[in-house]
Amino acid sequence: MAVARVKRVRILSHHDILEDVVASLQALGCCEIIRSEESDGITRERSSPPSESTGSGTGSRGLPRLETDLSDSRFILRFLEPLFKEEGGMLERLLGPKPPVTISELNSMMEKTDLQGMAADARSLERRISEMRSEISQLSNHIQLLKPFKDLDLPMWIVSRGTEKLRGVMGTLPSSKSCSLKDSFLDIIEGQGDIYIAPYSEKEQETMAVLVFQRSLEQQVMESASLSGFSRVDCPQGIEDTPQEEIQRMTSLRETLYGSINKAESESLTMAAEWVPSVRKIYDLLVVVAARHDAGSSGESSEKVSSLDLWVPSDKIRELESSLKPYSTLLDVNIDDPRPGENPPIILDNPGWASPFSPLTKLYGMPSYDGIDPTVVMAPFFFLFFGMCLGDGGYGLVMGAFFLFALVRYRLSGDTRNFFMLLLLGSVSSILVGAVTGSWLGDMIDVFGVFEPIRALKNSVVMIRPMNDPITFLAISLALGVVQILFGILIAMWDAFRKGDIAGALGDQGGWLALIVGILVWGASSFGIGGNGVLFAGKALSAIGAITLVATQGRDKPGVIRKALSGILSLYNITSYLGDVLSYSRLLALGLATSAIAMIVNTLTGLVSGIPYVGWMLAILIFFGGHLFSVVVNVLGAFIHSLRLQYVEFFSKFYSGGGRIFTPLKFETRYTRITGNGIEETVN
Amino acid sequence: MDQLGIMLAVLGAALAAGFAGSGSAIGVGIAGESGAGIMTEDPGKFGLVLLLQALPGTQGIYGLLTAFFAILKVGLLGGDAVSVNVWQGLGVLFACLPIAIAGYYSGIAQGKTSAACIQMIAKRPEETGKAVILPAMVETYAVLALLMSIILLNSIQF
Repeated sequence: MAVARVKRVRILSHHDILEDVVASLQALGCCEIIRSEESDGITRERSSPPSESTGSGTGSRGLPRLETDLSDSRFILRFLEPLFKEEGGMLERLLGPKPPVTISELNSMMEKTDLQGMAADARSLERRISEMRSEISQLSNHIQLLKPFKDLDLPMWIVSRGTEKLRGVMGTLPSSKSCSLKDSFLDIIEGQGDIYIAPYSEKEQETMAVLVFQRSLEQQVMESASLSGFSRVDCPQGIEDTPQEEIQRMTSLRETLYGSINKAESESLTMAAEWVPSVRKIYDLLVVVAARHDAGSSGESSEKVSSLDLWVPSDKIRELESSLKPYSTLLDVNIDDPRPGENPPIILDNPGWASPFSPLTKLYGMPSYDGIDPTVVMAPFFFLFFGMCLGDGGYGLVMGAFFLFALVRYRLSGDTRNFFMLLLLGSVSSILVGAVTGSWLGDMIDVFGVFEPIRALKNSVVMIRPMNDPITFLAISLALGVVQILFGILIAMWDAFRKGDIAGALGDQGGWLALIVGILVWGASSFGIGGNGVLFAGKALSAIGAITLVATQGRDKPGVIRKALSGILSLYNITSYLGDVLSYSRLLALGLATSAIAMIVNTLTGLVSGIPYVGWMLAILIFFGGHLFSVVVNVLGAFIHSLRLQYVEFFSKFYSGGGRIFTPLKFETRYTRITGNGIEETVN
Repeated sequence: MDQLGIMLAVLGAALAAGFAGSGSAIGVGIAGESGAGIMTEDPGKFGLVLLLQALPGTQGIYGLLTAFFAILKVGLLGGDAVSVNVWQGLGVLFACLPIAIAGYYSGIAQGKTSAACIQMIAKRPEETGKAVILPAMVETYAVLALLMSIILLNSIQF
């Protein structure tokens, strides 16, 4: 139940060494920068540290240059990364170990690479491809437009440009009106012009037409044509010859363009293969340097000195001091406790066995600095509940093997590792529950003859069969619920005591504890457990609890009547406790669902295996496909529902998040792992 | 009349699988539409979207499960033939109703919640954990209905 203590550290450093100090802090990776705006609210000029005074290569790179480099490398990666063939596949890159490099290696690589040139090349290539694409789509549109007129023997410049006297117009019209258009048009032009209506089939509602007429008649023609539903379509400029010729010309042009696009795309593929690996590394370097710049300018600075404010975990202070030793002549370090009212960042400090569960706490929200870390108290419950919800030994084995393989194969670290460990633990729990309930891929061992020899072994450890006796298992589930909820109330009570709120501890939590335990004892004795003494104890305890609640729950309200009313009304909350307990019935339901789905798969396998010739094949398909589906669905369900029991039923009793996660200044790299102290050894 | 009992049980199984399955289908459909919208912007979210889209799919499985239990109970899936009278058949039918009804409506409601959560991870992919929990709140009631259906089926005596 621990939130790690942190210290507030202020470093005053001469500008000459500021870069190197920040670099060492980054390599240390355990200091969170406090932005001066948020820490004391003093408005000040945001000054970047003078860059010309530092000696290192990346450091002397000005901030504007850094930003263009960043955006260049970002662009190259965005454009080329999708075309890059990952070595060993996507999974390897996402989960596999990152190649180790040092800052100096990256720097010399950066020096050798013409990032701006590469970005310019990539940009022009991308532009070329997109221009060609849009040209192709324009050509396709034009071809589509001219297609209806492919039999028209009229040069299209009459429509697109016209002459001084002649005018051509293209447009669409409802096919049913084509005759009326033709008649009215011929009436108006009196032989001085022509009309062409594209052939159409009976199904087509709409067709196209070209009208050629004298300019002087334009208004008249257009008016009468619009009465027939004619609607004009602009003929694009540059279309001169007959539709047939134009279509041919444009089709061949389009083919050429396709060819060039193919060429450009294969060019970009080679580009990707050549550039992506190095640009990735450079990108990492740039991100690291940008973070440094940002950190260096976070504090206040005077002519010669800059300040850096940091949060540092107490147990890392010694490391910090030793890493700053080389600069001790030019800087001053001041270590303090957090000021009252401050909101330090949160680091979860849990024993090794509970750390796989810490991602679950982070998922909900970090505790506050002087709050309780729920990870340790939640861990055993989550472990057990996950096992009960999945509840099958076979699935546990499959899942465990999968996550064990991933853990060993990819040597994960950080929260990914924690999460995989969590699921591995879940699979262990599931194997245990499966053994106790006799569920191994459902009823596989009982229905398939091959498993005859191990049937006795399986049955020897079975203690309960939820399929045959769901009520007992339901009772166990609900009992676990009662235990967890009472435990949650106890934690809240302890927390209130710790904070000195005795009235709250006794009134709120004490009252409910007494009432719930009292009712349980009362209920147990009415089922015949214990004698009259137990019954009396139960009744008395409930009464004490209820009276406490009535007396205390209205203590914030003014006036006796409102106090009493709130007190009595608070008893209604018993329904929410009832609901919470019933919610644990999902442990039974999900466990049953797993066994039953597995049983369905096994039954179907048995049914199809009787089919002659292909039966064995279908049986194999259904068995493996079905169980694979089942394990995925059930693991997902088990995880979500056991998590929900923690978040909704358990956490609500004592825990509220609200903390801010600790985000130290470190090497935030995506593609590489930076080793060494982060300061350049070589002089460029 | 001696077949009526069995047929009532079959009706129950059909309702459980059919309605819960329909609810899931609608729910998964709603979530899928939302997911497709997100993926036009960012195809890389496929994994997360698929996870959220799959959540309203459990009602269909619960329905199938109950249907399976029901026909197993009346001996339609091999095993010894059971004689089922009308009252027992009616009992099986009624026992199937909780998951049929709650499965249908909760599947749809969960689909809507999933769709909203898919929108949420489009903007805040780091909050996937919370996005997965919200649809699971809806599913609680399908789980409770499944529980009731199974307990009821279990309690019918032959």
